[in-house]
Amino acid sequence: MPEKGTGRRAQRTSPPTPITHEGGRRVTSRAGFLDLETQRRWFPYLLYGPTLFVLIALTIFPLLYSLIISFFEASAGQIDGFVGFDNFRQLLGDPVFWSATWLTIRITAYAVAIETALGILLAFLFNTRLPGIGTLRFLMFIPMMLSPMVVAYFWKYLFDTSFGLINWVLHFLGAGPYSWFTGDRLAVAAIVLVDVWQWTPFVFLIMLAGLQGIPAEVLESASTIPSSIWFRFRWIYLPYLRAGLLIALLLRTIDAFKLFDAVYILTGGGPGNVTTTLSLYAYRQGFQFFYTGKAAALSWLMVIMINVMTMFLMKTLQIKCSGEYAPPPEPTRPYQEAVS
Amino acid sequence: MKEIADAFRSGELSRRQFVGKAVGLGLSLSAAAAFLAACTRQQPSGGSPGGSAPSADSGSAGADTAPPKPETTIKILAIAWPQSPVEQKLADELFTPKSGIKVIIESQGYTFNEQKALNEVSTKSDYYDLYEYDSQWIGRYVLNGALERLDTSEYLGNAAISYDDFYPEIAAAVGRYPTNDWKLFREKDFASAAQSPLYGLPWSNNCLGLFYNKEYFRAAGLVDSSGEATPPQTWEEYREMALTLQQKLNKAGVYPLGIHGTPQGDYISMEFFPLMWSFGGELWNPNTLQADGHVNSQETVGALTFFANLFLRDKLVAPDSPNWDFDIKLTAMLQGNVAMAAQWVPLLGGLMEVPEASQVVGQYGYTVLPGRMAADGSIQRYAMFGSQGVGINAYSKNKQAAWQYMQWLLSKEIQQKLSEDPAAGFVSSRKDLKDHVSQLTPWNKAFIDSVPHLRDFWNNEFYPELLNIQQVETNLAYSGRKSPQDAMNSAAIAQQAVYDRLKAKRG
Repeated sequence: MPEKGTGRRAQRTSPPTPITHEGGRRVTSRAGFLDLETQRRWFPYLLYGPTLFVLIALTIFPLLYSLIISFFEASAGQIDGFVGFDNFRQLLGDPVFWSATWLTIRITAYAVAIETALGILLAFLFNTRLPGIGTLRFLMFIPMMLSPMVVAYFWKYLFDTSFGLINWVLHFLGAGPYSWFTGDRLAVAAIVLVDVWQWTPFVFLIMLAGLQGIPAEVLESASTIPSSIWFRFRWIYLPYLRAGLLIALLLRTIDAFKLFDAVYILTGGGPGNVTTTLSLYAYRQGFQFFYTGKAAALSWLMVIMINVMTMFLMKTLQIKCSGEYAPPPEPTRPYQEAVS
Repeated sequence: MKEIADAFRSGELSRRQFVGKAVGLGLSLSAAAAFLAACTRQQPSGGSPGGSAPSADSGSAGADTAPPKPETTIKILAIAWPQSPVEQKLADELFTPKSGIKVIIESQGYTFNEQKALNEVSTKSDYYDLYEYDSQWIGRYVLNGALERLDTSEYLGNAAISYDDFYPEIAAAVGRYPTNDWKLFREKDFASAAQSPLYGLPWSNNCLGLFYNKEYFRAAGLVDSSGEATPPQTWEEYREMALTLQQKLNKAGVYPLGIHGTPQGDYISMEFFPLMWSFGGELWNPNTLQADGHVNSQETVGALTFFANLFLRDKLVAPDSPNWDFDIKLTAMLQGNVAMAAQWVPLLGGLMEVPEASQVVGQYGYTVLPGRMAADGSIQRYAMFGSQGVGINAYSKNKQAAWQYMQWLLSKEIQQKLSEDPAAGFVSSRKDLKDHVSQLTPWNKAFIDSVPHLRDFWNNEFYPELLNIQQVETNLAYSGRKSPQDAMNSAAIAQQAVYDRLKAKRG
């Protein structure tokens, strides 16, 4: 039993030993302009100062600046006058804003649900030790390494009604041709499909890592229990996959909510404004009409929406805001039930 | 001092060493620099041009002397048209060796160029010395004070080129601000347009012409008595010929018409506006800033109904035409999937004849867009204007060099060289080259023939927002989601709100 006050915590919190005086004389640095006590006091700031500077300059300042200009009439670098909440009021009164919000939520829900399900399924399929499996896994990861603009462009050509490969195959099979980007539902489905193609590998990667982290003895024990596939997934695999799954869900939800590239290239927000997402709407305000103040206000509305959504997800998925995860439930009861 | 000067002249001392020693002797830095300048060949300097403008040949080196090392560099922000690399090559080969001015043309795609240029303009940047800009962008440039006025004694008052060298409608549309598009294009009141200040001169010249596949026309029997394919003269003929092509070609994947109908960019509007104007429709009244009664007039709605029916009723275009953009339409044309389409001449005429890119080499004919028969029997036709201007950045530190380059670029000799290089997709807007360039290629001829019918729209600072409203509503009507009347009524309401802001801003 260590003596009280000698543990790590005590060491961390105990006042520093005064070493700045030598025979009643203050000891200064070699340069002669700072005493050791001052150096010791300021040294930590010197270490994390650059990080703080970068954080303030590249994150906090732009955020605060964008918040400030959201209350001004600003256009392409010029700030004209304070307008209070007028930019927000204009946005909330615009039907395009509400249709874009609803569409963004729908696309996010569809895309993330499909990516999660497919990612898990693929992780189980590829969690094996067959020859060449490494190459196959690498090929699976390629879509998420590509630029979203490039992905959107080649899908646009694949979907084309006149010379696209998809319609050619469908025609060969006796179906189609379909005009993918002119029908409301088909256009949304095409956008979701492109997102799923590119980002399912991300979920797959995290799930595969989770599966490979399950101790071999657990899997061996599980293999001796007669049970259904669902039972094994729910009570043996899922507890080990949960943390990664929750992170994948969070990241994908946030990312899909900001979807821009695919929509911009595939449909340009059309027909009309049917496939205009919030990011595309913000892009138009900021970079097409050059209404910087309005675009900043819209970005802040999106930040609020994403935060609300993240908090909801974290609460629902039992992630504490401190970053610690709730421990997976002990699978003892179902084991006992199964064994009995 | 004399020894130092002699050593510099003989090459024993570098410029830096000369200035250092001269200052060491008590000579002021500016005096040393002046002395240095006097010792060396005259170089273009920065700042205001002042005095007489340099000629396009100024600083020319003799044929027997080595080209001087460039002392000044000018940077140009340009749209990535095929013209840019050809212009760069000509500048490197002909301009820089003579003038000592190095030219760097930075080309960007159209949309990114618009954004980048506006950022430069609004931050009063001096990074670029020349801007090559689209006609609709000039309003924002001028309002940000980013373009140098050229109709002054410092520039055109004493220059090797003149405003009158160019077609007046093109020079006014790309160079003057503000302009009234009714007066300039509808009433051809060039004198009135010339009252506005001049900020730029023509850089690249384009308009929409009709590209028609002669082989498909022959196969469908759309020929004259000599067996030559006959393009439509009116929009009604255009539709009838397309119906004939639909019936007689009966070729899978080939559509009689190619229309890019996406709400992105300006694509659907570019297709619709020439048709709308020839039907008597208008977007607005630029004198009263009124949308109601113009964009939703009987004539405009009639034109939109005709336009939408090409897709909805007659099915003369690809089923995903409401989502077609520039690239898809161009690909379809190059692959022979389209029999007839409006396309930019001369920008893309040459591309159709490049065997590496095109499967329809030698098949296309090029002519002016169709129009509508007027009561007097004449055909009222319009050619969508798509030209760009070049102007000097008012914050540039190399204005004199930039002006020297502009004069060289717009000289008859260089305009002719650009026009003669098919890779440039260029036709000059110099009047003295009219006959020469129209004989070079059939697509150049289509441009020259279209000049009397050119028409542009909205070059005010609210253009992007007005265009977006027009794009969305036209696309909704074209794709059958709204009736043409409802779509244009919505456009009128939304655009009027923008015009009201414009009115308030202009006081």
